[in-house]
Amino acid sequence: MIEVHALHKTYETHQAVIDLSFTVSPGEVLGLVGPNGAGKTTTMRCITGILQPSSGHIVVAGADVVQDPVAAKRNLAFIPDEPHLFDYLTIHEHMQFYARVYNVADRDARASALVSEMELTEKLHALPGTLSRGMKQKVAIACGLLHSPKLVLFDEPLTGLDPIAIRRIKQTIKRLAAAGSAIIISSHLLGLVEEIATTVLLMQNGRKVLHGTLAQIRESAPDLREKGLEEIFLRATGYENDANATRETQP
Amino acid sequence: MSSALRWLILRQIAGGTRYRLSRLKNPRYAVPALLGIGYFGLIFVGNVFRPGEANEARQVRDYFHVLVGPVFAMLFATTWLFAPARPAPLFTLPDASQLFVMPLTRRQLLNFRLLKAQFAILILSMLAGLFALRSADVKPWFAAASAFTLMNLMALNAMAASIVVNRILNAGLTRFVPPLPGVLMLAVLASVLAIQYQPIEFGQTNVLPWAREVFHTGPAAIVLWPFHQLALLPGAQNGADFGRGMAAAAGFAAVLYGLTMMLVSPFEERALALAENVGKVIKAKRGGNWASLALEKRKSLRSTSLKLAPTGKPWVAIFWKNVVAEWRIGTWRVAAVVAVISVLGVSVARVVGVNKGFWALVMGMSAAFGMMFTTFVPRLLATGLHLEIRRAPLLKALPIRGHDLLRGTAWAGALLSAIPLGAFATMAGIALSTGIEEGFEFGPYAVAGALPLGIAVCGLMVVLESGLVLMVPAWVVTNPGEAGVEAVGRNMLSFLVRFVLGGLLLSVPVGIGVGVGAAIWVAGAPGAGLVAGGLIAAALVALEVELMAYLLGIRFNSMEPGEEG
Repeated sequence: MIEVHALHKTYETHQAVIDLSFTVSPGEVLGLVGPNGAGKTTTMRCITGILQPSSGHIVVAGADVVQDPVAAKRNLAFIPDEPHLFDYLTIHEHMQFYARVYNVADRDARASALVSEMELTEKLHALPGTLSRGMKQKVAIACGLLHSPKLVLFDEPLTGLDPIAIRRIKQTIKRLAAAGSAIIISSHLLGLVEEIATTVLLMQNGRKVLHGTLAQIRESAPDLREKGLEEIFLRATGYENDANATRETQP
Repeated sequence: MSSALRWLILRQIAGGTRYRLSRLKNPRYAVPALLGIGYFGLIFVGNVFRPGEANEARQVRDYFHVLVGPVFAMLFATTWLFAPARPAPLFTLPDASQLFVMPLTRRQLLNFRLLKAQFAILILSMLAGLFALRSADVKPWFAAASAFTLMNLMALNAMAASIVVNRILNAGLTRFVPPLPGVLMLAVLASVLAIQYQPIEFGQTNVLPWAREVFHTGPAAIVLWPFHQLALLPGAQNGADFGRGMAAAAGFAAVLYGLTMMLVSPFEERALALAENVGKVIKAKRGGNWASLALEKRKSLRSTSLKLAPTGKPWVAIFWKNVVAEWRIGTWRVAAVVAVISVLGVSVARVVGVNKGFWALVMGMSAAFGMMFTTFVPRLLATGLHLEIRRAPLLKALPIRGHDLLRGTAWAGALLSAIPLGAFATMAGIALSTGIEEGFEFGPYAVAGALPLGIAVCGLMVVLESGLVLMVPAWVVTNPGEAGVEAVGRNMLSFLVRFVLGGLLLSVPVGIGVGVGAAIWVAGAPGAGLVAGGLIAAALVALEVELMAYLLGIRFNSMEPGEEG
């Protein structure tokens, strides 16, 4: 569904992403994790066509994001960590607009189902200014999923959500994957990634550090067999070694 | 353009209008709106019933035709010169973050951007049409259509410049090349004007024949010809002028639009960065006092040598925090640079020697700008209470009293205003002693007396404005993100209070200062009289500032945190 080949992205002198390659197949949920500044958001933005790769190729549902961005974007949805909705459009109008852009055939039925799933029915005619952050996040998700995208990118999808909404969003992500969408989730919530991701890609300083299913990653390091993603993360990024070294040097 | 984008624009206009109308049920919006509407009514209703004189209109038309062309040329060229600072079309954050990931072509996005501006341009054009009612000869419809066309051309020019620079940057030419188109344009303009330059005697020569000679003959006539045709639009009185102007505008539009669409290349990255930056600035402004903190995240922000290390009394902490934040925001740094350049320019003119007309101009403009500045200084402060009071719950949680808050805010505003006021006073002093009254050796004394008074008056204006915010926050608190008739009404309300109360409060100190100064002057020490009069008046105004800060501070102390809503 998505193929990333030798992606490089440089900002002036800073190399944000270095030689990154991976694929995500239909039904796969990729957890994109890494410390701050690892290059996760840059990678997501390159995939969505907002940023131009310095080199490399990104192919979404058979369309190259740089060569044929419109075709590629038709098949993807990007749910950013900070939802910026249109100030003077109601929730209902947001849904209508997305349906028009993506030319969704059964727009009313799909919109109604998503609004209900995100528990937005009562707020349908409210302006974004009157909504909480979590509600705005739900609106962004509902709008993004309206055209049944083949690839969905979530950037910190659970920020600002209450426990019930978190449960809902997790179920939605699982439902999307079961329906054949490829999913990429960038998150610092390693518990979430561990729970719903089928594969994990760990980045650090713009480079791929680990990639595979959790089982494969555990296989690669015998001492991590019984460990969770958090321990794997800390070990792979070198934090745990540094912390041990610091403890040993302390009197 | 995509029909969905057209739908989006119309829905946003409808939604915005509906929202603004519905909130008028609330007095906090209704009162400023009524004031704003009243203000525009006073301007325009009079025009409808009292058209101006025909000969006035003809003169205006001549001035427009001769002088506006070069101004347009300069505006067009400077837009290109500064385009590297804005190397992509300007989208709002919601537009950028949602539309850039949608299956829309870049040309569709650019057309959307151009079309989205039309509603605001249309409203402004209608105001221009209403304004033209004052003229007996200028047709309101011509004026409205001309304003609409010219504003669109400016927008198109800005977009074309940003797209060309974006293309240059995408080609990897990041050094020297991006500003080159603008530099070349300005160089051509400067060259042709230098060839035909003739000295002018300000105040003694009629400007019109001089300008006609400089701008409408020789190579300038050829280079500026398209702009001279555009200049027929603003004062168009007949179909021929209007038609020629519109034909030129169509030519410009075709070239600029063609260039934009032809050279468009990936701009999303830079446009998103710009949108995020603008978003941060708006957020910082809405945050008022915390603007400096939000602005610190901007990459372009430079550090300042002013350190935020207040010690001692709380009002000193507020004072320093405001000074540092304002300095970081940059407006006052720009003002300082402009002030220094202006004073240097006037000093050079003094050495070179220019005629009396020039000095009269300097004197008049210094006085006018000085007064305008003093009146509007509270609204120039991003740390002013008209913005900051939105953070009342946070302010109330700090261990500060109202007196400290107002004192710190007022004296920070006063200190910051010293630089521009010093420039105005110095320029006026030079003009006074050089060109207005030859042999008048008291210019420096006049400056020494006027400057402290001006600074104290600025402090008074800030404390009055802040006081009004505390007394009726719902009517005065502004949100920089929302322009419109209500903002005009709010500004008018605060201006009226500052004007009336300020006049009353100044009358006694200035009266005493003038009296003392005059007595010393008559006693044979004119210079000392000027200084003493100014200082006494300044000291008395400063006392009033302290008294007002104390009294209004009580209101802050008794205020509920959420009172400002």
